[in-house]
Amino acid sequence: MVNPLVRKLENFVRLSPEERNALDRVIQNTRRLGPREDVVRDGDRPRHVNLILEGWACRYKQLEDGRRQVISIFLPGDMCDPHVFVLKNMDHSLGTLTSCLVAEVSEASIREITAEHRRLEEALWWEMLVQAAIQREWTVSLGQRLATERLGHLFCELFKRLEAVGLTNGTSCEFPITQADLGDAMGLSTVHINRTLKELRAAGLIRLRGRQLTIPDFAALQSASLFDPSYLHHEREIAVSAVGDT
Amino acid sequence: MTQDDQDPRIAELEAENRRLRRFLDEKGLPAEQRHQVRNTLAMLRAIIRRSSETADNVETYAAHLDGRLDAIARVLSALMRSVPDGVALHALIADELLAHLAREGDQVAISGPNLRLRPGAAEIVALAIHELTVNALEHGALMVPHGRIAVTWAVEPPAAGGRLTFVWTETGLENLPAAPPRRGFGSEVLERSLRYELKAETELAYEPGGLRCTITMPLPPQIRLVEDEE
Repeated sequence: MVNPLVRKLENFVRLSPEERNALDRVIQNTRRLGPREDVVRDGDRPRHVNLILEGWACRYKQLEDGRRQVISIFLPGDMCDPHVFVLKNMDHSLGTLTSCLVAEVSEASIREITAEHRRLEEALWWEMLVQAAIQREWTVSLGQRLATERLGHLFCELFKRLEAVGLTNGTSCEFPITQADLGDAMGLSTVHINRTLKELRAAGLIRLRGRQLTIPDFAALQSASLFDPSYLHHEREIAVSAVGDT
Repeated sequence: MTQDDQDPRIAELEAENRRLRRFLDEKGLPAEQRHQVRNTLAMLRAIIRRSSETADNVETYAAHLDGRLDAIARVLSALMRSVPDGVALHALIADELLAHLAREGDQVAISGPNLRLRPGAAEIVALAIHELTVNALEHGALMVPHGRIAVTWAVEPPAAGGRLTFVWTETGLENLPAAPPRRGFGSEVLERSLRYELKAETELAYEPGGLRCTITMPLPPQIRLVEDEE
């Protein structure tokens, strides 16, 4: 299979064959999980870095009385904290949303590839900083954005992130998560999610059929939800198109 | 930067400016925009002045003013992006309550036919809903975890020219006084501004279990009833 981490990091920097091989070697150890399973729990000692190869997962926190906040959504190619082994205990849980194929990358192999390849070290920094940037946008959504903007913004973001690892098909992509998951992620009740989806659909901004999301006019959804993709830092794409313009 | 390469840049900017102005003139936007800006400023001025009449101290004045400006900012931005349909009444209510952490489906139930509000109606309705929300937060159903708000509306007959009835009902409280301690900016908006702007009749019933606010008005041209497809 194509290593989604390679595809993802190549949005930032062009990798050499050796660097690609190094990344292929670190994903040999994989684990298959069903939907709604915990990968690692709050309080556990992180033994390795989890890298999503297939499926959707999330970072979440659960309060004692059962209320749950989905803090981030992980897609193929996403590393759940590239240097997580620095911490003694997990302060949140990682769980799957759909069935997932997860690579368990050891601390030793992360240390090895970053020591041997400067560019990979930098690329993993990029990965971590982009995740922090995404987190900042989610804070803005939770604190300020209206319901239609929250969902529209999330759809734009997920579409762009899937596109970056080659998982979109024209104007469509897979969208396998439930309205309850969306509510837990965006701080909205399921009733509110349901009605907001209807609103976006009626405005012709999205189509949701089965597990498929279609964004017929990306620019329209983008302006309706004030989405500016620059925080995803797909810098190489921009660099390439800038060269193409001249 | 030297003088030499500054000049062409400025010239370029000026040319751009002229193009933009021409574009705006062609689209007929300036007059309409001037009108909009004037209305918005007039509304803000009224809010600032009238908020000061009923505030006890500078801090609560600033806090309430902030909340009102936020509510106006939210509806203006929603209006700007919803042209030409207008904002949905349902979304307006749900978003205003959400901004105060009251979630539809949890503490709040909202239902009614699909009404779209355009400039001229949306701002004042948004402000009225904001005042109801803040009142619920400070004196009503949103003070207590088991408090509930039900918002419903109907248009009779269900067509242009019909009469809109909007009912905001709070429950879950006990032994509330029969009338509020004093009339503030909120009741001013609900009773006077709505009548002045939309010919609305507002009835505020302070029941022991919570407030019931009933607003009726002839459906103005800026509020359109839309058939739901689903």
